[in-house]
Amino acid sequence: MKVHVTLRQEVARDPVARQAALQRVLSAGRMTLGHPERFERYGIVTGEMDPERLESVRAIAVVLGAELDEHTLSTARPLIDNVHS
Amino acid sequence: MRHIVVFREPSARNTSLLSSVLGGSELRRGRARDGTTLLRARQLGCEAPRVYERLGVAVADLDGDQIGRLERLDSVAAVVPNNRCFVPASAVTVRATRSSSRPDPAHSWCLDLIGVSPDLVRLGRGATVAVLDTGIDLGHPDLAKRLQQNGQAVSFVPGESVHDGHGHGTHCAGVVGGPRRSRSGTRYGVAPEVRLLVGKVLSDLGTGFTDWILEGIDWAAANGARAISLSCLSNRSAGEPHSVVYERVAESLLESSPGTLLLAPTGNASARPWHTQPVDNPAACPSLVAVAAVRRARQVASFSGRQMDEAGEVNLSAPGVGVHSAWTGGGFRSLSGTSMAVPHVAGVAALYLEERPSLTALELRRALESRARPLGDARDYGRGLVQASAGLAGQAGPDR
Repeated sequence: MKVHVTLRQEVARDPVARQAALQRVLSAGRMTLGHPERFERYGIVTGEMDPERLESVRAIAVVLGAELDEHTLSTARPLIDNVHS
Repeated sequence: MRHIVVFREPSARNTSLLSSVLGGSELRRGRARDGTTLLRARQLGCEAPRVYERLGVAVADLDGDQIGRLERLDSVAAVVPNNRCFVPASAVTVRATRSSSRPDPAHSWCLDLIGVSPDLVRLGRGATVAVLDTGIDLGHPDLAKRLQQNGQAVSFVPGESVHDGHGHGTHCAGVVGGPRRSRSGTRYGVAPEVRLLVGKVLSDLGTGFTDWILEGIDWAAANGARAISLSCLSNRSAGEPHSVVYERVAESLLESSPGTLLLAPTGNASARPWHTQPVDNPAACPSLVAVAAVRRARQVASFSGRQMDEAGEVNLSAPGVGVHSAWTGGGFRSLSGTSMAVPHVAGVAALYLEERPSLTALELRRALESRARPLGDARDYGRGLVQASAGLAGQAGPDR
């Protein structure tokens, strides 16, 4: 399953710390980095991961959060408002 | 107030049960249709109570005492307010188009509301705004030519071209940058000369993955978008945290120089006056601008999301009820939704950037918020109704 792991900001901004954090995340998640440019720019590690490994990735101190790439985002559906004026 | 009585099971006894609680004076008036029984209305002008026997449900005007008595009955599972029901876009649009009234056929009321008068000289020249949505109708008479001349369109949805098979993206793009002279006869575009970037991040079904959306945001920022209209959402419950992924991206773009401002809808799940829903993700992220929808009377739209917790703040309001714009297939439709409010703010951002190109994303956000017209409770309206006509005179910065 695709996962987005967000590193803590102070780590994401430090190139050396960022690379070290990346290795820890990839190792804990047994994943490969999907979008290197996204990682460099935002400190977000995107890749395929076994969902069972999610908690071990979240437990890494430099990880701010790990979110599944779920198909939940949809357009804000246009709705009718009965009180047209 | 009208309520729904939910019985534990469908039964012919439900009618007499409801009748007895309503005072016993209501007599069975007859069957409206098979399986439905109407009771006598208590007073003139009141809707008659109706029992749907096969469904095990009844609809009636109830006072507090009657609600309490019904709730205490073993055969009643629940008594709930008769919430307004909304229908999805495909069914709404036709009706909305038929019923939309435009007092000034040459100019949308939405533009008047945000201070875009027909003689406003600012048209978004030199500004770049992205619309990340379901794509765009590449053959639309109002949009196709100007997209070729001054714009770019890319799809991030695997297997789908940038052409909009849904309509939502075309509508939003039209609100941002529709032409001064529309084939529909009504101007609806806030910034007709803006450079428009269109990223398809939601499929023709209107849904998308975070991955596609992040790709679209990154592409738009890399191609010079100074504001991004992102009319999509994922539902969030009160107390749930905001998305850290979107917050990271939005924060990075907001703090970069000159930076890019992300705008997203507060959500459409409220049903005022009965209940409100908190601001959805990604709008709940503090670094995004959360946009609420208002009606023509400058009142919050019944469906618009509200600030109900620490995470989900409302920042600005814009027109979002009966909004006229382009639609896929070369046509036009009037739609309602906080989705429609977001591109109005993005268009106004383009007007501000035309006046002062050096505005950073942070300054742009402050300018939009400080020049908004206050409307009321900040939990509903944020800083108020976005205003295009309020100039940036006095704003710090070298260029004017």
